[in-house]
Amino acid sequence: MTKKQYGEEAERLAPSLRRIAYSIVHNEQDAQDAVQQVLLSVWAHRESVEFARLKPYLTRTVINACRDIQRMRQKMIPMEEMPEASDRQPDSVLRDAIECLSEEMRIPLLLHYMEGYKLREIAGTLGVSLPQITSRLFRARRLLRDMLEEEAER
Amino acid sequence: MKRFKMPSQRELRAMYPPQNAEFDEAIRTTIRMLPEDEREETQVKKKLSMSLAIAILMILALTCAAVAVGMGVFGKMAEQTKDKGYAQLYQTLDEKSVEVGAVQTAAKNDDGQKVTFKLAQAYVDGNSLFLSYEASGMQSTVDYSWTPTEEEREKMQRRDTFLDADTGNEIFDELMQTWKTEGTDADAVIISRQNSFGVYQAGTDEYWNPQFSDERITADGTAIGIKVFELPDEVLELETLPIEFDVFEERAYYSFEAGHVYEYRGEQKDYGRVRIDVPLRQNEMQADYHTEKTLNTVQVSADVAVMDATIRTVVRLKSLDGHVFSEESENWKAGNLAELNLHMDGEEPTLLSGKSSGMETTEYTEEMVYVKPNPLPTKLEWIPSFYAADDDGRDVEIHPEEAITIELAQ
Repeated sequence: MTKKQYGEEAERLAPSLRRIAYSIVHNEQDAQDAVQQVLLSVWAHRESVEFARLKPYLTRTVINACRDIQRMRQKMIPMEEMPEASDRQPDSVLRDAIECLSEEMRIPLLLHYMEGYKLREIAGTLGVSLPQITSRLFRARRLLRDMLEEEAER
Repeated sequence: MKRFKMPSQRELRAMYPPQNAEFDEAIRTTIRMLPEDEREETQVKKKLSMSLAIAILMILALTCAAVAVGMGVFGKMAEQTKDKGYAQLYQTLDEKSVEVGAVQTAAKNDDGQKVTFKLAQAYVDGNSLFLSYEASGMQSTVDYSWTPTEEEREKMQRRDTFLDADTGNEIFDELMQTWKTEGTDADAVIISRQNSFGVYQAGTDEYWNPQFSDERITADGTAIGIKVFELPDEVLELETLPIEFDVFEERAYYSFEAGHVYEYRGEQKDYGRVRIDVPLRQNEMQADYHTEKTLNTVQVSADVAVMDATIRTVVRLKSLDGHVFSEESENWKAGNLAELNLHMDGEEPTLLSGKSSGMETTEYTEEMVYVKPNPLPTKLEWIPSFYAADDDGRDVEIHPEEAITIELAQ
């Protein structure tokens, strides 16, 4: 993979990677840092990455980098002292409902419905089987439906 | 009661901060700052006739044994890989490949440092050339005496993922593990000898990137590795394919500070090119299969070639109602084909490489190369899923009863 090929693909995927990162770290600066850091480290390890698999590889690496950031944040600041992230978007029923989903369900849901990943791509990206992804999506949709309907009835 | 409707892609994306110029610029800057791939971008331009300052190539002998005896490099790599699918592939290649007994090439620089490079095994399966090699003199050494200057510090990039990396280079991986466990700030330079990622077709400036590569370098400087290349049709009829690797020494500078790793790649010393003649023994087996089926609004045709080590599939989809195959969920329509997932005797196969074309058009093609399972599966099944009607197409239903099936002759 040449630098040009990598650069073009990275630029194309960056908005999607940023949204995925933000959905985990809930902070614009951390999301940007995670994407930048991953773009650099994957290029440094390009010899072990096939161009055809770049999209799932970058996505998985961004998710892992964000989990590291989260772990670090939790280690550094006691949870009760954790400040509200300043750049959160105005509250929305939909966002709050999605935030209530466990990460195990939230990430496949967002990859599929928000980023248009196919089920097989999600399975490959997250390293779990296709039936597991299908099942997580099914549960995520059902929970989301219950939460949104409950909210609508209030 | 109103039926639940999944939020649209646009609604979901609106939950997150919109794209902004600062982020776009940061990404563009990051991409601009990526270090150049010198081997790929500058050496392609080198003329073969150029005088190599330091390399002496010695082709000692070429003998090919038709049958591999004992465990070869592919077999050793099979033992070392954790991935079951790749282990199976390496085992098959170990049995099928040509053992190249005494092709040995040495490169030596002015300091008398010597690198030997030996092609161990080779095999052509479909258009894929699988190579295994052994090398010696690939020592990496660590120099802790270096401390970065301000200028060097500015060049360094944060590389925290190195702390968990399994690069196959014992010296590098050990350094990172030590830094990670001890957590003390430190600086080090790693001087390592390496062979190029890709190869040149000897006598040309044609540079091939590998489809796949895997390498293990131990602390004593011995290395074993595998590279896989997709060969152009015109070389497939050759009995022997001469290729050239670059061998070089590189200095890479690392700092560990407050739990973070920083790196910059420094100068390279060229050891010259190493030429290897690869005997192209083609796979012995190729069984071809074809099937066609219409699934709702899509006509599907599937071609399968079963080789010695791989199973290759080409699946072509043609839209019958003019809808486009799309990555955008806004374009998904209820009743249209969403995906075709291949199973071999009910198991998901290990994908080696793949490419697709035709997304956002009405004709879409996927060409895939899978590891051939052992024993050979009796049945390949592409199980379709369709966008579902109850959710404006944004849900999928899997229909195993409509699978496209090919029975393989045993």
